[in-house]
Amino acid sequence: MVVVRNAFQMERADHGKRDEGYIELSSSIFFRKEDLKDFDLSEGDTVEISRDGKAIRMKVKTDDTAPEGGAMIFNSIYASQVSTMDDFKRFNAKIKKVEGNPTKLDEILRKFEKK
Amino acid sequence: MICTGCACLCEDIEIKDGRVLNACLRGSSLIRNLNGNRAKARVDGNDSTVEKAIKTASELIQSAESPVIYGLDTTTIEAQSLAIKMAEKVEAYLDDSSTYCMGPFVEMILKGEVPSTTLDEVREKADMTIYWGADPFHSHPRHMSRFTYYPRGKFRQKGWEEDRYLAVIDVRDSHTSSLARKKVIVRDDDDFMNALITLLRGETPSAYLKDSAELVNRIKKSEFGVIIGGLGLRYGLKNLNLLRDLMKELNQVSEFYFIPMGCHPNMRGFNETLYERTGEINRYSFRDGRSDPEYSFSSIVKSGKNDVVVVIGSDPVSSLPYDISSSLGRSKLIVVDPRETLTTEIADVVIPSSYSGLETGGTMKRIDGVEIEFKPEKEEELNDVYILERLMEGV
Repeated sequence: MVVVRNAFQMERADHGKRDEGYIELSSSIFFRKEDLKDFDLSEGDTVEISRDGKAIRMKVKTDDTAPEGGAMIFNSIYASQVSTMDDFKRFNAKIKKVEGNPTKLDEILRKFEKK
Repeated sequence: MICTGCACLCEDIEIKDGRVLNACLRGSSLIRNLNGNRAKARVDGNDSTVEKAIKTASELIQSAESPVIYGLDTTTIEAQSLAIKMAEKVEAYLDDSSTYCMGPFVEMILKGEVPSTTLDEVREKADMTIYWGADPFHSHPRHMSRFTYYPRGKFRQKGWEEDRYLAVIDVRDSHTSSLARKKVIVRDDDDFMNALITLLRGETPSAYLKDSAELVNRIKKSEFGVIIGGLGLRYGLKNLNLLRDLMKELNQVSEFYFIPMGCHPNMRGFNETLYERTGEINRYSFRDGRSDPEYSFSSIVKSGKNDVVVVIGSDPVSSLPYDISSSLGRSKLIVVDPRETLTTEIADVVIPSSYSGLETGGTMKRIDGVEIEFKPEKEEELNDVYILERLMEGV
């Protein structure tokens, strides 16, 4: 998994990080079209990305700049749910197809509520 | 107008009839949306006056036993200097995003361990540019057109068509690599850098022979080259000594420089300002009088040593791993920002500010260290300098 910057996503961030377009791009995971079959995935599927007890659901999309045999996500609070300080930009994670939709932003932010 | 959309700090932006001219997608978006999504003063989740928010923040900082100040890469050097003074006064931990970004590279440059140059020199002289772990097409959309590849330089009049050679080293194909004469997909940055060093020393590398040989042959033909290192290199390169060795070997066969590819408009300014004051560039404890990885924002917040966090112009809830950002709620959180962010949503105190450089003047340092002065037509009074001065009065 690689975490990258994307100008179109950053452009949406200027509308606020609750902007629908920003959230849609931030909650997407990109594969090369030719890799989808190997992962047994189709465009539009929802997948759970997990590692070390942390998980996030994202929508599958295709992009020819995704790494071969891997996946690409954009820098955002979604990526931050599964990255760590040591491997901020590149890490291994488990990906499995799940039912439902990508994780909602409020679902993530609820974890930050003060107890 | 000067754009603060990224660390290129483009100085040729014009606004005519409401249209933003010359800016890239990122810059024009920032400028067009300046008035949207602005932060509102809040205390404990309730709307407040700015005065009350500043007063509450000041009291929290004053009573803190172990405050942390973080961010500052989007503000001016003048505000950064005040934040450093405040950190000194209250013996705070002080850090910025360079710890997780270009910090190690900037430190090597400031300490003279790797040669660096300005982007203006690159524009005039460079005949070879290597982007390593960087995708300026998305992160700094005008980097190639203003500085490295497309301009007609003083000594490169034939531009990219004949005079300039672009190479990209990355873990994946990118929109930038699709424009390059040579692209190398690497699995391990250390291995590829080792291969280049080995070849430059006249020996045969054990990996990446074809790609490294092709690149070294081209390097040997170049007169003035630059490696632009991005976050991919920062996190891919495990042994920083390799970069020192590579730059040394490159300069045996050509004239070669390294420029980091930081994104925040004034990260370099923070690094240099703190460096001038303390001899260190980031993760500094004014209580202990030294810099250390254990004083990084992430380490302090995760350890729970802090009781108050002041975030200025940054959104760590979005940008830092959850392991770290989830600890922000353990202490009082004060955020100074021109816009609402995911961090302002969980803050105890929000102080709205203006956009540094766009709505308030001052100086910043471009990522290559060149100082840029901002003189916006209209100066907002409620800015980071004013807020920090007020917070300083309280402590």
